[in-house]
Amino acid sequence: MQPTNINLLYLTYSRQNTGAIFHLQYVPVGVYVGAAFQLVPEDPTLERNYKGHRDTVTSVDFNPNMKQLASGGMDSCLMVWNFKAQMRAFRFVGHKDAVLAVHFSPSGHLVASASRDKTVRLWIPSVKGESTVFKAHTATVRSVQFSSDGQHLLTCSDDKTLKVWTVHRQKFQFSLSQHMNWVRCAKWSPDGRLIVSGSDDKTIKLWDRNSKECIHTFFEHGGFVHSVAFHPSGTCIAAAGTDSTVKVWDIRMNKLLQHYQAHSGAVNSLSFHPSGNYLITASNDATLKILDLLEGRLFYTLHGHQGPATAVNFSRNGEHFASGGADEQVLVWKTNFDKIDYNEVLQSHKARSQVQPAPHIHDIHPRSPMYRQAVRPLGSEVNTHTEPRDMTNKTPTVTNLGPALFSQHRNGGSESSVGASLHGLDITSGDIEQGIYTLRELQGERQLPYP
Amino acid sequence: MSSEGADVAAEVVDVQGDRRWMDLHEQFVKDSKNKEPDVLFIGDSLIARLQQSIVWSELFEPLHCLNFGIGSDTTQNVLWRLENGEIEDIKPKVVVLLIGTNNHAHTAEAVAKGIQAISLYIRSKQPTAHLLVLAIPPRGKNDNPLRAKMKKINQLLAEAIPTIPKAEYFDPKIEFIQADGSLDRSDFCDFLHFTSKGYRKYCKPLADRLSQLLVVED
Repeated sequence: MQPTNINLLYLTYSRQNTGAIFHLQYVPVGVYVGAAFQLVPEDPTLERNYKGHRDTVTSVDFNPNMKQLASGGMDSCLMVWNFKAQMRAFRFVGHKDAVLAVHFSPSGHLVASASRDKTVRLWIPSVKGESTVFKAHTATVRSVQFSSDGQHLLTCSDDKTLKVWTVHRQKFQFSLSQHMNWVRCAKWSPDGRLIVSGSDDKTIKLWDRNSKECIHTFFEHGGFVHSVAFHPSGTCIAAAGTDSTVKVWDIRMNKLLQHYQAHSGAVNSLSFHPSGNYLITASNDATLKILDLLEGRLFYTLHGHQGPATAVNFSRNGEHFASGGADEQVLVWKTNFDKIDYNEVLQSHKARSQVQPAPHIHDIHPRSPMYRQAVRPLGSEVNTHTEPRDMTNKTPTVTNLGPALFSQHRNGGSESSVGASLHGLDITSGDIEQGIYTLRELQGERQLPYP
Repeated sequence: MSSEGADVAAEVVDVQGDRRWMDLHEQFVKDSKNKEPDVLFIGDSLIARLQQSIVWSELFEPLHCLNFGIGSDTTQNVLWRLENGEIEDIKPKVVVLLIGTNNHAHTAEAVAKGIQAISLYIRSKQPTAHLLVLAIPPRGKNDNPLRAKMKKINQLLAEAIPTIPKAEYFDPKIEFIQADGSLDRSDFCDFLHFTSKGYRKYCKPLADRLSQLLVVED
């Protein structure tokens, strides 16, 4: 019997009559070898669908320990989702306005959140829900990121500046002030010596973190720059924004290397796979796209969000990625395609391309059940593993936590409620080199960080 | 012409059959939920076409602006749009209003009343936003009754708008009418709508005023 290759992966949604639950069905891709249907594990698969945000999700980040995922939203909350089944999710309450960015520290012991309320909060993502807060800018804080040694924080804001802070005691170090409009995104280079920033002034700036100078400006004439990132090698940067294109520049030669016009709406977020071979993007056109940087072409289009996809991020080891959207959902996917030997992937893609009929082999697209049945070969044996997996979201129990209960408000405001639990802390003792802090060490003795 | 009714909200009835006006309105309502404008422009074609001009990206895009202009709109249409969701969920720092030139069924006094009604509505819905009501530019190649009418409306606005808190009547004070009384086609391509050159003259003072207002708000 001739082996026939079929590759179809799709997600269907059905809204039950209550209107409250998204019911995802997943049919994995497979290959017939002889009479047996085997999985070809290289297409991304949806693993989780978290519901809990009450407004657009703005940012997602995996804990390096791979046990948690953080997400921020326009509902002003930070959510921390635990991957262990049955474990409850945490909703951290404290910010007074939308949370626009979240980032785990390299040790995984802290989460930083940036907000429209002009503050940055550092949370210990546990059931105790402690955090410390500092007023970082005079306007909305758009982005926050720990340096890879966990010692410093980089923030940027609608006040047109970028700022660097110590994590310990959140001491202001310096600011970078050459942008002429909102700075939407700022990132450290992998070695921490450079910073890249993207702004509504339609430029991307590269800064030397030691000399504090802007060493190069890339002009993005098409529109506002929403998201920037360094390639894991540190030799390139990627940027994307309102003109819906994605660009990759070599920063050694200051040269545009790649230019993708894959999306049909503004691109909100992008993330490099740790191998450096792929870039994933999230767009207002409701799709996530995976770009193959070695081949310079679109690799996958993922339809999972209803409405704008606003956030996307690979896990530190690249085996998963997470996305968030205006539909309030947080989706966690298994990458899969990074596991295969690249030549094998090319071989199997060639084989796919010889199969009738279309759809486009790289499109993963919701299809009606009718269509799906038409494509399945007749008389096939179907492995029980290929039955649709029940992906009904069992919304984890959510615990509300926040500084109103536990910690002091630190920006000179009049709120200060100290919970009794601050004194009986049962946390690993401060080992600052490893980035493990107690809340008290984080706070130390502080003045307002403002120059 | 009627001396009443320019301050009564009314939607545009789709007589042609393509539903454009309502579809545009619904898009604006959506935008008002999802976007973050510091400045909101609302009005008729003079506002709508501004976004198609190069002047928009030069002067206004960096200020984070939204454009809710629809061609042929009257004061009643703008009032209806505002009352039906277009300023529900956003929090602009400044609202810019230019309307009135299409109110052919109303006297100058009635049109001014309509613009006042819109202004009061905007101020009540957006208590922290500053309102700029723009002077209506001249129209027609040579002098004609509509020129006098627009001038009269502007005079009435100059008196009435300053009485509304946080509202301002803004006249860029550009003399578009030439020595022989005609409008230059290089400013008004069809003696009604601005060219990019005309927009640049009219909007530069406006952009300056906006920059002042936005800094103050910071």
